[in-house]
Amino acid sequence: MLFGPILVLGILAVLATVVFQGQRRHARTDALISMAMDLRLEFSMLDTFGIETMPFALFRQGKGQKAENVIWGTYNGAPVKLFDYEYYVDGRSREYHRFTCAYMTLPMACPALCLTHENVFTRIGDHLGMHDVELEYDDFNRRFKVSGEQTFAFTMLDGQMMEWLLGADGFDRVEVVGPWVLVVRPRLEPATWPKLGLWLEEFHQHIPALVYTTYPPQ
Amino acid sequence: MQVLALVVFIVLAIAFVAFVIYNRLVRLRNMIRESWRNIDTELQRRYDLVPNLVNTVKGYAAHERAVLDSVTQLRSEAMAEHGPADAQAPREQALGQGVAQLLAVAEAYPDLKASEHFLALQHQLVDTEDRIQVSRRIYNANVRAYDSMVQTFPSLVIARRFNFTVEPYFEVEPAVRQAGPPSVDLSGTP
Repeated sequence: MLFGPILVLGILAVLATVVFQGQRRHARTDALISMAMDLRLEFSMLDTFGIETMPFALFRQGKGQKAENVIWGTYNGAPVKLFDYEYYVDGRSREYHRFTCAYMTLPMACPALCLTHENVFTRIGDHLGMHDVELEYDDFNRRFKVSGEQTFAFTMLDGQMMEWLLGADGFDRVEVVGPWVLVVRPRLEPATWPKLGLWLEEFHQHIPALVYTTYPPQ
Repeated sequence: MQVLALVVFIVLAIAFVAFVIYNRLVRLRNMIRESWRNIDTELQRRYDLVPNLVNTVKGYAAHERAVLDSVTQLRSEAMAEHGPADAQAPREQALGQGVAQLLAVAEAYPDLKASEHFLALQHQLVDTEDRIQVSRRIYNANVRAYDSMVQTFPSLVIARRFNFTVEPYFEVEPAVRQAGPPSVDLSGTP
């Protein structure tokens, strides 16, 4: 007897969720359009740049990779793009991972480098012989995991860069490959997107001059 | 029987750990040798630049003989040293300071400072100095990891058994920087 009302309530709940999520999505897009206009940058809801095909390690994780809400333009002479990114992992249930990212294109051609945070599993891996690149600052090694070629890691991460990263640790992940630098954070509210862009610009300012002379564009 | 199996298991476990430690020590020692070769390449690059720099400065400031001869002498001494890193370091430090002093001398000669050839050489020297520092940092990081293994338990047991000894650090401060050569007191220079 109760089956009918319960079914109707269930359908209504699903519809309400879909409508609510749609409204949130629209509100987010509207806020990003407004922000792009304020900053005199371009906006596209869809990824027309093939961002998912870029050679960053993050973009090879999981399935259903999707970039959207792309804001782009030039900052201090360097082309920059900010966007939402997500992928999912199928386990007992589908788990989505959502991020806000920013990348900059610079006059260099670098090998791949990835900077993430150390956690329990990476420390266990260290003890089992799966070493990442160890630099000369213990504080830095304890906080961050550096994956990539040793020579390039030491060239990119000089004393000033390491000191700055320790003090400006507001990222999930930083990747460098080819001419691109990517910074990744868990999905951000539109109002905080400019801070991500500024962080990326400060990272750019801390890149040692030797990187550009040792790894010039090809 | 169970005791025998346990003993065999323990022996095999110890042998496996020893095997892993030995291989890691060998790998680290090879990394140190490779990173020293990279330093050597950059040092050679500096040796090759110095005669060019000396000749360029001589063309504008031939009477700065003491400084010019000093740098030439320091270069010869650095090139002649083929000892371990801690023996090489003081020679390279002295050469670096000599080059910095020579660049400081150039500050007093506007024509020399404006010379494109001199500016290109200066840029190459700064670049080389930066590369030496990166190579040095890599070398020292590898030495630190290796020396820590050689000196700490249980890897020191394997290290002593197979004659792995500590390696020296290569400590050289950068003498030539992007901002320009350091000011040098030339009051005693003839």
